Amino acid sequence: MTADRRDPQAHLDLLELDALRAGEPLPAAATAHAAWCADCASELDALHDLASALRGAEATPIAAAHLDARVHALAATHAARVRRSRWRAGSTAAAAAAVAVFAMAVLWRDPLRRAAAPPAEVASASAPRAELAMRDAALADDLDGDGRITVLDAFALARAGAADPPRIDAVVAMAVSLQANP
Amino acid sequence: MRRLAYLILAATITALVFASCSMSKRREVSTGPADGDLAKADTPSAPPNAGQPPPAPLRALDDVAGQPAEADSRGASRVDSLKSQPFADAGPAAARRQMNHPAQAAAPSDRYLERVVGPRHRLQQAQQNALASSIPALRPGEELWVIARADLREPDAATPPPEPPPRSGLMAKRPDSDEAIPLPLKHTDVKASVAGYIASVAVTQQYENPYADKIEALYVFPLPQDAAVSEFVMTVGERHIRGIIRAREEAEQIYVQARQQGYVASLLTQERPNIFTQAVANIEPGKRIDIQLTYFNPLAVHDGEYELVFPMVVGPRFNPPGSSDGVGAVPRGQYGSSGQPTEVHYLTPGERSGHDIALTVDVDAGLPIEAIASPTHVIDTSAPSPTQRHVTLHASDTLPNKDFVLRYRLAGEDVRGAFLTHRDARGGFFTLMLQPPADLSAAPRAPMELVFVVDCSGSQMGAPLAIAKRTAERALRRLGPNDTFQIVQFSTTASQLGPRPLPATPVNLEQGVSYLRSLNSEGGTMMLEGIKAALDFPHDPQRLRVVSFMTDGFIGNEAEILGEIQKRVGDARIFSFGIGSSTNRYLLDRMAMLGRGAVAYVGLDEGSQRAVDQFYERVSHPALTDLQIDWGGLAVRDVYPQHLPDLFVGRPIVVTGRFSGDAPTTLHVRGRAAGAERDIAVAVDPRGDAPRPALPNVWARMKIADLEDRATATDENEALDGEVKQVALEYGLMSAYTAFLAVDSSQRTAGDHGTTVAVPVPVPDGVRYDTTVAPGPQAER
Amino acid sequence: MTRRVLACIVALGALLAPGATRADVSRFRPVDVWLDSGGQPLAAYQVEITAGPDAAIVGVEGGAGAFAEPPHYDPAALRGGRIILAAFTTTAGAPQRRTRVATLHMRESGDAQPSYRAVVMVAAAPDGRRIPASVELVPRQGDPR
Repeated sequence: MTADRRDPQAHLDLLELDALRAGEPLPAAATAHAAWCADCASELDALHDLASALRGAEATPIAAAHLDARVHALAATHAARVRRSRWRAGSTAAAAAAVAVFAMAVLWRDPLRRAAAPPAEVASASAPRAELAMRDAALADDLDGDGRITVLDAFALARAGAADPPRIDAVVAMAVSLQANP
Repeated sequence: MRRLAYLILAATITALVFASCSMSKRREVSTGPADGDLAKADTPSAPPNAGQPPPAPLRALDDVAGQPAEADSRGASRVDSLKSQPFADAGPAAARRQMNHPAQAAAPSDRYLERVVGPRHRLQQAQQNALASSIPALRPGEELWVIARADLREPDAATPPPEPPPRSGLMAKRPDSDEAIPLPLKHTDVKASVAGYIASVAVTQQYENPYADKIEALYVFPLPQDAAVSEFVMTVGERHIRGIIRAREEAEQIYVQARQQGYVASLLTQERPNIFTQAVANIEPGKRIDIQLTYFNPLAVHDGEYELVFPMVVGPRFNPPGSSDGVGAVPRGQYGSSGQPTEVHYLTPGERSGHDIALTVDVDAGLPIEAIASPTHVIDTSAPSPTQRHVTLHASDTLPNKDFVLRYRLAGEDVRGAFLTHRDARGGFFTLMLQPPADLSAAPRAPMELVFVVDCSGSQMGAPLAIAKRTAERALRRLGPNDTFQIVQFSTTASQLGPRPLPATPVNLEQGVSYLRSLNSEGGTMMLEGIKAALDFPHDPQRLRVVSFMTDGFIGNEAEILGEIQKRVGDARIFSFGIGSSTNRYLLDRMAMLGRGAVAYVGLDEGSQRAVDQFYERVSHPALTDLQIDWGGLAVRDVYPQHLPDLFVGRPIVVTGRFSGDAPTTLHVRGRAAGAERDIAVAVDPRGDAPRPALPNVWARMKIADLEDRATATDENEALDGEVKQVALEYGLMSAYTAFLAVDSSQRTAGDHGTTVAVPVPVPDGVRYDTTVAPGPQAER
Repeated sequence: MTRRVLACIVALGALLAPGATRADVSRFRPVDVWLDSGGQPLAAYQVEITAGPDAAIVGVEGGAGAFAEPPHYDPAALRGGRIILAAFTTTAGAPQRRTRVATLHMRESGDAQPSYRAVVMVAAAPDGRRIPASVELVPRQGDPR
């Protein structure tokens, strides 16, 4: 089954080369010849490159990363809404934050929860900063102004039809979070 | 109170240790009665292995291939039916892809068909004829009961019963047609949605019982190694049951109980970061159960191209002798034959399962998309807008035997890093894509000591090894006069070109090329030997050692390999090429990360020119090393990766972490390049506080990956494993220590828990079955 | 003496090992969550449920009609015996009668049936207006075939 590798007649024809390019089974001699023969290897490279070139026919110069104009617009709209809700719900937020701080303090002192507490690098971050995060979230997504995030806030977003599904999901996730509902 | 808590904790730990002594570490999903099974047959047909010696190893097919074709009516009809199959309408490329699987091929010649199909079919037919001739003819009203004795193996090894007979014929092949093998996985549907550089992917697997008896389906499949699997829904009829994440051992225990009691239940476990097992219990005859998984993962960005990868099949892994925690590759139906806890069952090249895949990708890039293409599959593309694309896998290319890769470029300049944030009750999460400064490419590079490590194992036989050799040869010819090189080949053992690296003179380069061309593939994949040969010899301090692995990564001992690399890499850099249609990206990506390098993937249908050029862009220009990020006024913590990788031209890195405060507009990245300190101001594009529920999962997934890496390098495995489980449970993610579980407790099915049927898969495109899937212990391959 | 010590350790382990004890008497049972909005259309709800220590949730199923999709819940909640379910619908056909909005699939252990309790946190009509609602948990047996 072994062909003389130096025999010029043993070169692979175009069909065999393309079969090799496509990974199809070929006689062992043909495969071995392709591994040895510089001419056949060069032609095989050219076939590969041609196939790649055809697929990437719209290749362009290297581009850098992208700007998300649509997200910018959403963020600007959201930031404006946050500023309005902050001014309107300042006292409610302060009360909610106080409740949250008190609740976190109770949980922090709970010995069973301490025994099963997450690793220090997470626990040390989550407890003292959670109340700040929760207050921020309350300010942003407490659309009905009741001082907490519930499914009704997500429902309001969905009814308005203006929010993306990820935002709605995020609000619902906050609503059912035990950490947000101690 | 605290003391009481500690006392309870200590008692619980004691009890768990006690309980774990009676349970196997990696519980085998019970595959049926321990002492055989009763298979009732109305016809003289019986499961092929019932009471018979196992079929001859597939290696014997090589001996059969050269023999002249026998006069065999069934064999001739097989050849004729294949010849009559038309080519696909999608064009020559798609048609050629179909030809990679002979069962679907409309082959170009009779010789091709006879060589590939005829011998295998003749062997199967001979085996069936021998079996049939040993069973007496039945008279009307008589029944034949076949009792199959279980293999005598280790008590805790899997002892699967014979697969149940389908409702209408033999298990493997119907004798009078070429109908596909009835198997429980009917279809997989993939829907991906990309926003920015995060993909959200929903994978729906449709299981359907084609047999007359109840079954449990077992399916081993791949997902991207950085996928954060966060949702799991089981659909029974019209009802959707969302699964829950639990500690793995607890989930396995509940699943076993539910299965034994006859409830429909499903369990998803992780065997590797990129290999998962789905078990679905008590699927009644004719019934369908859908399992939907949802995961997030960040896209890779290379030289301005975004790349989405969806793997479709696990490649056949080699497990070193003596390993007991590997991933076995076994012929269809040969349960337990590899001795490994996880087994992937493979179809022979003459078989097909009928399982196909549908895939769509919706890209919303925010900027005009200049080019989008797949180097692996035939796709259809539509453009709802200049910034959006809808991509569909073409109907002619739905055989799930190779990774799906989609690449696209965007218009516009990037002078800022993309900083995505998300806040919820747990706090703030961010991801930052850090772009390398363009002026790095102007700096000169140091002389290199380039070491090629070529995988010459059986899985590389054919096109993969040819591509590896061509790629290495191209890279060799681009070395400079001050560089040196070495070539190492490994399979069952390792050997190299010479005792020490050679200067890159023309004569030596030709010697290297000749050595490359002489390499052949055979044997196992003792990658450890290759690593030792590449990293253990004395390093020239005047040169930068660059080690380039060329492999498909088909091994089962990833943890051992990664651990050895961590110990040996020193100052070397690892730049690898993953070669093949379904490479082990988890292994190769981690090797690149540990080696502060990069990896390029070369598919079977791609030329190596581009990969080599990009390789030289990486190694030829200094990276920004020893990175530190000055976050300005932003308070950050839990940043991953903990050790920032080097920043190469064209290769942005993604950093994720927790934060509080307002997002910055400028960051400072400090590092070293070409021996000089650099301080680069990076203008950050804050995307606002729009909710991005994917970010916490991405962060948690990266934290888990970091913990797993540390576990392989240290002896603190237990503590780190516990931390992995803690994070995974807190964020509801899959990990090696957590599992998704769903039980339908509303209906109990009749009878026992049925028979376990493993879903077989095709070997990956370009991989040879006869050199990778052994009928016996893998160490003997 | 040594045997007594070993026997005590074995007994202690048997007592404290959660898996070994519960595996012997485990059973599976669906618990339906019914909401009654008193004749008003129900479009959104949020319910807090607590279960006894011998009950573990092994699946969360949607309910009937407009609430057929599984509700939202916090995965981390499932370890503590307390869970909050929430769902809403913007489609037409909001139920006005007593409606099964979800089903929790439970694994129970121990001899006695675990206790389940539920409290309605909020409920709303299709226009977002809050409405009163009552909740009832109804454990049932799995149907034998």
